[in-house]
Amino acid sequence: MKKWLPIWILPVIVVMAVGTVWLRLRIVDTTYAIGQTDRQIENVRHEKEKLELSVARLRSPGRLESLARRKFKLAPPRPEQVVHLGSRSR
Amino acid sequence: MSADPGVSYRRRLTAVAVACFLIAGAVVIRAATIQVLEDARLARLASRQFQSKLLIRPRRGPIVDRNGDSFAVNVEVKSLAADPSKVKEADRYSAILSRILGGSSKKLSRRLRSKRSFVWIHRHLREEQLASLRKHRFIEGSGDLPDGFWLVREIKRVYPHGDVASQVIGNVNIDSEGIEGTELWLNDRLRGEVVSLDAYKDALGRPTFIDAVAAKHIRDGLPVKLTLDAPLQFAVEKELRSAVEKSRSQAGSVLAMNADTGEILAMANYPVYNANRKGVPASAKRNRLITDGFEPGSTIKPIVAAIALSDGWSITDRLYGEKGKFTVQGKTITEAESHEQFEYITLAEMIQYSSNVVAAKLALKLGAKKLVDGLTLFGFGSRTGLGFPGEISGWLAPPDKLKPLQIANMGFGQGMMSTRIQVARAYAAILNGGRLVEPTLIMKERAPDDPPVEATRIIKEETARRIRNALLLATSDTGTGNKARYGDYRIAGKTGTAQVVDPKTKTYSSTDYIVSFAGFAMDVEPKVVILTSLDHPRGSYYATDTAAPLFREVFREISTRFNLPAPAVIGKTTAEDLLTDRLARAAAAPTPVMSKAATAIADLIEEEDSLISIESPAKEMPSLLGLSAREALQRLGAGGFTMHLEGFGVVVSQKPDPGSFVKTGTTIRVRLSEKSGLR
Repeated sequence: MKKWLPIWILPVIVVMAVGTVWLRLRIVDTTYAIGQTDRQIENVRHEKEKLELSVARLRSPGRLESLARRKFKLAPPRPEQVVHLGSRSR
Repeated sequence: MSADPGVSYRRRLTAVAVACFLIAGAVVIRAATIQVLEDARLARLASRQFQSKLLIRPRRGPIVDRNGDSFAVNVEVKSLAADPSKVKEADRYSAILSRILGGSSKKLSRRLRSKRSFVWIHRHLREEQLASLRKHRFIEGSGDLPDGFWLVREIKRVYPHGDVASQVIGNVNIDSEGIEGTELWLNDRLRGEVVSLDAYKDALGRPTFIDAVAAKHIRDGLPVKLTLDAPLQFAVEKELRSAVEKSRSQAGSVLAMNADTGEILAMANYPVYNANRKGVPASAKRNRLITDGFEPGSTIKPIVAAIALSDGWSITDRLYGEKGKFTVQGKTITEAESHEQFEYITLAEMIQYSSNVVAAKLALKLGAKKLVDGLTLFGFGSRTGLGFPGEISGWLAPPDKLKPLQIANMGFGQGMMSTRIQVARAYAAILNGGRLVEPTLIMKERAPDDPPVEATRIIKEETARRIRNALLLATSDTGTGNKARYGDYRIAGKTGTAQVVDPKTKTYSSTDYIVSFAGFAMDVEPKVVILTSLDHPRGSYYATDTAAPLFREVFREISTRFNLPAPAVIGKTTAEDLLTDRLARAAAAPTPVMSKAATAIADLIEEEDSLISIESPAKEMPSLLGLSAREALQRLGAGGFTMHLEGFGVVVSQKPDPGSFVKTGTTIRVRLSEKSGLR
């Protein structure tokens, strides 16, 4: 009987089939990992945004003025009380 | 008789084989039909199972002030959504949710019974609402929700400074699309690129494969850096609010702009609104400085004078004041005060005393064409180029349609419509030496060696200088804007008290006014032009008592914020003298603030050994124009000046110019003439 296919073709096909499936699984795994990392990045970004908002609120001129008046008993200076330093006029 | 069993068996076997082949053939044909002929339809069905579209909404760019302080930022919030087809016990859940989140239980129940596969239950849940949902175990400890409900992460726009610069910043709708102010104006830039991605999902709906090429096109919104200075804006708004309340005005506006670059440093309107809140009346959202037209009143007089100077007039040219009453086309134009019965006064004095009659006569002498062309050159009647939504162009009548009475009225700022920003821009041209700058709210990074901002020259430097000096007179003791003066600064500016047309009678109201003050401090850098305006003040409504003091307070804030020393740090020979004097005065102040401030200043001086610009003792030069020699000598008083007189008659020119600061003992050259300069 004539051998019309070489014997090594079968393992090659098996290896290729397994390889394809393995590759596909790796893609899925990697996508999950990317998704997980994306979520972490998102969480960190949201945390950063929350902190930025806190900083902005803490630096708010309204809040600072209120603190200056109430807590430190400060008041706006009168004209003669202002001394300009390190600046020259023409 | 019986058949051969072998033959019968073969026939039956053949029949079975044929049947099998036929069935197999049918399966093959059907498979081929499915695979080849119905491919597209089935592919669609299959793709629904495992393919999905991900709509990636990028982050909206932040809005910051010129120093990087945030005006508008994003925060993550959660929204509650549902798939009604999967919700069981809709009535029970709608009762629970309406109790926690508010709203009608019946309406919510109807939505939960709808045939849609997605409905919003509540967008942008607050922290306390989320806590309440957890408390009522609607959200389990594990984060699970009842079947058919889920939480969606969303981005919400937040304005950390609340109502500061709210009309400039604007706000967004619930989908983060700009609907007002800068948020609307620069929406494309702030929004970024919304991208739809193809993704394969697994049985749990998680993406297992994302189109990486398309994902590269996701672009977050770009930040916008405004020219506003947040602390200054806050301070200016505070002063504006105080002035509005004190004068019982309906509204008010303040603009502070760099006269060289056109950068707007503060743009305040009252009433204000908090962009974080909903349901704000439209009147509070208007940026009145650019959206509202008004008749500028007397603030236009220096501009008319500048037009006249460009036409060959001199600031010392005099016009007859008609003793306070001037009739044009049967209508009498009067001065603001009945006791103001001017005879011959110069153009400088017209600005100083704010003479309506002389301004009207000057406008008539210029003629409609020159007047309108001149005002157009100063930017009236067209938008400023700011680009902000809602800006109007104002209105100037075509010269050929103007009758003498209208021309006369335009001389003192009635019968034309301008925006407040146009007035500020015209004054910026006077301050910067005659160039019409384009106002801007967007910060452009500039290197120190960059060429100056290009602007069209509209008047000569010399003309601008003469008008500036005349404006100094307007804030002198006898000027209408004297309450705008602050400390040792050389404040120049002009008041405007314009009548308002009563919509009922269609005539000028005798009780409603729009008062304004436009001006600047001379010889300080950066050059900042300020416009203050109050609508319908009650009580003492004159700009002298309302808009001018507001200017002073706004300038005070600006000088402190930008560390602008007064040019007249005069009379001290050394920095030490100056500081000792200041500290001595500070120490005498009863408030604890100054003891701390004085200590801080002293420490700073010790550390840095700073020097302050020192000038020799000097005095402000009064205006002698139009006075006789005797009157001029009286006005100079005991100032220690030496006067050198030339000619006879009245003073037509003087050196140094009025308003300039001169050392005591300086010789003042005064030229007198009997006729010259009279018009």
